[in-house]
Amino acid sequence: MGARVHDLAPWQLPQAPTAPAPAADGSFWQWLFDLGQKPGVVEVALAVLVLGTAFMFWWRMAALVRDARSRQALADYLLGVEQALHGDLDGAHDRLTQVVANDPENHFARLMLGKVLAERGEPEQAHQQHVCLKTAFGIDSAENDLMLAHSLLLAGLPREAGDTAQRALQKAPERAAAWDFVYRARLQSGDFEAAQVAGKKLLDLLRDGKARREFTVDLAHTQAQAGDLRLRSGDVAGATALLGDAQRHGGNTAPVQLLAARLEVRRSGVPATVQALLANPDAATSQVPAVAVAAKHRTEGLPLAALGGLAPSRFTCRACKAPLPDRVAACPRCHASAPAELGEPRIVADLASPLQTMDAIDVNDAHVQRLVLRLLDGTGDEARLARAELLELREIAVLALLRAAWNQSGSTQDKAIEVLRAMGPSIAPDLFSASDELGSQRILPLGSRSPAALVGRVIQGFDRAALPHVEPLFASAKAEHRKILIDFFLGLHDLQQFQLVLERFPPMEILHRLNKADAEVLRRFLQAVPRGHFVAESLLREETFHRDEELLAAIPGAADREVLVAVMRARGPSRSALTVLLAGLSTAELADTAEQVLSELGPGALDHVLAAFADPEQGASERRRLQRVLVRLGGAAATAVCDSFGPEPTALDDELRAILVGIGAAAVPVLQAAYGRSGWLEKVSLGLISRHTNRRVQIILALRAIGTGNANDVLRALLADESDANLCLRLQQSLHGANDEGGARG
Amino acid sequence: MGKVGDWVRRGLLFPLKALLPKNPWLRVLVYALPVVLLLALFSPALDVVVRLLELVLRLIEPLLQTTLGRVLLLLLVFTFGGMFAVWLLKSRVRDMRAEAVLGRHLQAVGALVGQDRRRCRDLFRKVARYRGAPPTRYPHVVADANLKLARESLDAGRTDEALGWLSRVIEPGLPNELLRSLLQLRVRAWRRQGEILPGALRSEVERALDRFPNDHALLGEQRDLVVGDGDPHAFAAIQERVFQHAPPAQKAHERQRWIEALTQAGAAAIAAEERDVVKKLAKKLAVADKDGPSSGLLLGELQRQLGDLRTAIRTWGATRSPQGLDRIAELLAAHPGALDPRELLECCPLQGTLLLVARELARQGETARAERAARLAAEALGPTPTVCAVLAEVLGLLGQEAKARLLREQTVARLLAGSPGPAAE
Repeated sequence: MGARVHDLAPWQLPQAPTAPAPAADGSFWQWLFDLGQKPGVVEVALAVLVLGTAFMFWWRMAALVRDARSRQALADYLLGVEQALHGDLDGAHDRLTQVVANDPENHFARLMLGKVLAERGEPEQAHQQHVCLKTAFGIDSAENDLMLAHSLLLAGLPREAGDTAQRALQKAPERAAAWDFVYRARLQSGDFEAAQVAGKKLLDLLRDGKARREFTVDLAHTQAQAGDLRLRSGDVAGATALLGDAQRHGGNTAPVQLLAARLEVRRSGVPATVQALLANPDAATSQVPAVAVAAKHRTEGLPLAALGGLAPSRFTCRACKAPLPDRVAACPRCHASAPAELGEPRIVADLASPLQTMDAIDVNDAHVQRLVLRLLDGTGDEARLARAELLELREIAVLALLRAAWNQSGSTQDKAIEVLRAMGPSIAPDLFSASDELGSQRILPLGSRSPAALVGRVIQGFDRAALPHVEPLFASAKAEHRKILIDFFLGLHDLQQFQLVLERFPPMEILHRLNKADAEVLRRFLQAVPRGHFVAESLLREETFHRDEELLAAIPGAADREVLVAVMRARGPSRSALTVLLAGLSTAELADTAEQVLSELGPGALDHVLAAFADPEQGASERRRLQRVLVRLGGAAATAVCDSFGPEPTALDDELRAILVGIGAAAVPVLQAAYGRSGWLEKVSLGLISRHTNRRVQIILALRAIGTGNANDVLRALLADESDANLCLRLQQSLHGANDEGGARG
Repeated sequence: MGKVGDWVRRGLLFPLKALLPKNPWLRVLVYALPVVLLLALFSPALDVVVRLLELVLRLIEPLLQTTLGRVLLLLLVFTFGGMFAVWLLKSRVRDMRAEAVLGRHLQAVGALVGQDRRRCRDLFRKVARYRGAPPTRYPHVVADANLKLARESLDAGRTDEALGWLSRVIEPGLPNELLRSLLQLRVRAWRRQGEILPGALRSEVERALDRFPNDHALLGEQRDLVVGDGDPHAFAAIQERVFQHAPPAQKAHERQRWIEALTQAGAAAIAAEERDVVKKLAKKLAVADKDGPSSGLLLGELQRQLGDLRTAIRTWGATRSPQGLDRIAELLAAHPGALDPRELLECCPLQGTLLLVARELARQGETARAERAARLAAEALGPTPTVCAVLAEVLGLLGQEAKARLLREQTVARLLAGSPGPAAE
C-alpha cells in the first residue's frame, strides 16, 4: 500500500462501496434498467435498432426512387421549370405542355404551366390550368389558389381575384406576398374598405425597412379613401376613426388631408372651412392640389406663367384613384394595367368649331346670326342657351333678331319678337335704328312688310320704363316712327297716357294701329277702356275696326265690362261679330258674355243663331245657350222656328218645339198664323205635297204643350176650320188631352 | 485464324456453359466445389483453415462473454455485412442513389414551384452536396440545384452566396437551358456584387448576349449598364431591343420605358441641335407611342427651335394632350402675342386652348374679349384646379380680384362637397 492513491490508474482505484441498488419503486426507468440487465436484451435491441434504421433508410430511398421513376418526361419538366425561371416563356410553354400531356399527374408542372401562361399574357388559359388542378385533381393548395386569383386578376376580375386570394390566405395567413396581392386586388376593384383591412394584415407581416415605411404611407392613403366612402354614406364616426388610423400611420397625403377637411365641413360648414383652408396655405391641406393652388393665389397673387405644373399629376388611376405621373402602362400602386385616366379630360376635348368659338369671343355678326338661327330653329337646350346669350348681348343682337323676325312669319317671328321684348326697353333706340336700316333695304315699300310693324309689336311689350326711350319719336316725321309710337302707347294699356296719342294723331291712323296690334296687347288695352271714353264711344264703334274677336275676349277681364258689351251691341250683328260670338259660346270663359251679347243683338242675329242651333255638329252646351237666346227673341224666333220644320219628323223637331214651348203664350198667335199659312215647302212643291205636313203636326203638338187657355182656344178654332181628317184627328187628340188635363186639374 | 480459334473455344465451353446454373450464387458454389474437394483431399491444408477458424473463435470468445463485446461483435457483423452487401449490389446502389437524388431534386423543384422557400433551399442543398454518379435520366441535377440555389440567394439579396453556388456549376456540357440561366444569374450576381470592374462586367454581358442574343433578362442587364453610362441614344437603342424581346406580360412596361428613352434621346438631340436625329427619333416615337403625344411633342420642340412657332403650336395642338397644351402655354409665355387668338384656336382646337386664349387676351388688355373667353372656358371645362388657376389669373389681369377670389372659393367648396359641379360661374 506504498503507492498513493493519486498514482494509481483509474482501474486500479479501490472500488468504492457500491451504491445500494435502487429500490424497486416500480417506475418505468427501474423497469427499463431491470430489462437491460437480462441477457440478450441489449443485443436484440441493438440489432432491431440497426435493422430498423437500415429499413427506414432503405424505405425512404425507395420512396424517393419511386417518386422519381413515376415521373415521365422528367428532363423536359426540369428544364421547362428552369426555362420558366429564366424567362424563356415560349420554350417553357412547349416543354411544360408536353410534360402535362405525358404526365397529367404532375401537378407542379401544371402549376408552373399556369404561371407561364399568365406571364405570356394568356390569363384565361392559366385560369383553366389552375381550375383543373383545384377541381379535377382536388389540389387544395394555397399556392394554386393564389395563382388562380392571379389569373383572375389578369383576366380583369379584381373582385373575384381578391375573394379567391383571401380564401387561400385562410390556409396560409402568414404569407405577406399574398396579403399584398389581396391589397392590390381590392384597390383595383375600388373596394377601399376591404383593401385597408388587407393592408393592416400586410403591415403586421412586413419587417421594418423602406418597404414598410412606404407601405405605411400607402395604407394611410387607402384608409383616407375608405373614410371618404364612409363619410359619403353618412358614417361620420367610421370616417373619423379611419382618419385617425391614417394620421397615425403618418399619412399627410392629399386624400388624408381632404378627408380631414371634409370632416371639418361637417362640423363647421362649407364657407368657414373654405375660408380657413385658404387663409393658411401651409396648413394641413397643402397637399390637395385645388386647395394648394387656390391658397397660393390668394397669398402670392398671380405667379403662374404656364398652364402646366399646377397639379402634381394630370392622370389618375381609374381603379384606385391614385395620382399617376403620366399615361403609364401599370399603376404603381394597385398594378392595374393601362390605368391612366385624365384628371381633366375636358381640357383636351375637341372644340366643336374653333371658328365659331372665336366668333363667340369676338361677338361678331356671324356669331349673332348663328345664335339667332339656333334660337329660331333649335330645340330644347340649344334654343334656351341661344336665348340666354342673345339676352345678354342685347343691343348687339337687336338688328339680327329684327331682321330674322322680318324675314320670318308665324311662330318663328313671334319667338324673335319675344326675345326682343325680353331684352327690355333700353334697346328701343337700337330697335328704331335697326328698323330704319332694314326699312332702307326694302325694295317695295309695302306696309305689311314694314319692319316698323314688328318694332311696334316689340315696343308694345314694354312698360312705362320705355317712355324716355320713345319720347324722341314724337319729334320724328317718319311714318314708321309714328306707328311705333302708337303701338308703344297701346302696349302701355294706360288710357291716360294714350291721351297723348289721341291728341297728336288722327283717329284713322290710330284705328289702323288698333287693327294691327298684337291680340294680347289689344286685349289688355281694351280691358282698360273706361266708360264714356272716346275710344269706346267712337273708335271702337267704327265699322273699319274689325277686331271683334279681341273685343269679345277682352270683356271677361275688363275693368268695366259693360263698356265693351255696349260697344258690341252698338256695332250690331255684323257677320264677323256673329261668327266670333257663336264661336265664343264654345269657350268657357266667353260663353256667358257671348250669350248675353247675342241675346241683346235682337232679331238681326236670329237667322245666324237659328242656323247655329240647327247645326247637327253643335255641342249640347252650346245648343242650350242658343235655345235660351232664341227663347229670349220671342215671337220673331217662333215664326222662324215654325218655318224650320221639315216635311218628315226628325229629332230636331223636338228641340225646335221646345223653343216654341219656351217662348210660351207669346208664340200662340204666331203658331196660329203659321198653321194657316202655306209653308215654303208647299209653295215650292206646287201642291204636290199634301197639306198633311209635319209642320202643322209640330204646331199642334207645340200648342198642346203650351197648354194655356188661349192655346186650347186656338186648337179648337183650328179644328173647326180644318177639313183634313188626319189633322182633325190630331187636333181632337190634342184637345182631348187638354180636356183630360183640365178635368184632372178640376 | 482468330475466328477459328473463337469457334473452337466456344464449341468446347458450350456444354459446360449449358450445364452451369443461371443463378450467380449457384455458379459460385459450382466453382467452389472443386476447391473444397481439393482441400478435403489434402487434410493438412484443411487443418490450417480449421486452426485459423479456431483462432478467430478464441479471439472473439471473450467478447461473447460480455454484453459490450456482444454489442461490438454485432456492430462489426452488421458493418461488414452491410459493406459486403453494398459491394455485391454496387451498381444497384449507385443507381438507387442517383434516382434518390433525382427524387429529392424533384421534391425541391416542387417546393420551389409551391413557394416553400425554406424546404426548397434545404432540399437543393442536399442535392448540391451529391457527388455520386449522375442519374441517367437527368445528369445535370447537381448543376440545376446549384443554379436554383444561386437564384434563391440572389432573390434574398445574398449575392456572395449566389456567386458561390454559381462558381460550383461546371459550364462545359451544360444544356442550353441551364447555360442560359447560368449566364443570366452570373451577370446579375456580378452586377449586384459591385466589385467587378465595369469592363469585365460589360464583356460578361456581351459574351452572354453573343450566346443568347434574344434573352430579355440579359438585354435588360445591358440596358441597365447603358443607363449608367448616361448615353440617351444608346439607351434608346438597347431599350428598343429589350422591348422587342420582352414577354407579353411585360411588353407594356417595356414600351413605356422605350418611349421614355426615346423622349430623353430626343431632348438630348434638341439640346445638341441634331435635327436629323430628332426627326428620326420622332418617327420612332410615332411607332412606339402610336396613340400618345410624345412624337408630336418632340417635333414641336424641333419646330420651335427652328423658329417656326406657328407650326410648333399646330403640332403640339395636334397631339390633343395636356402636355401639348403645357408646351403651348410655355411658348406663349415666352413669346407673348406670337399668335393671334383666332389662329391659336385654329392651330389647337381644344377646349383647354380657351384658357390660353383668355389669358392672351387679358394680357393684351382686351378686357371684354378676355372675359368672354374666360366664361366660355369656364362653361366648357368646369371648376378643375387648372381652370381655377388660369381663370383666377385672367380675372386678376382684368382687375376683378373679387371674382377671382370667389372662383377659388367655389372650387374649393365643390372639392370639399365631393362633386366637381357643372361649371364655374
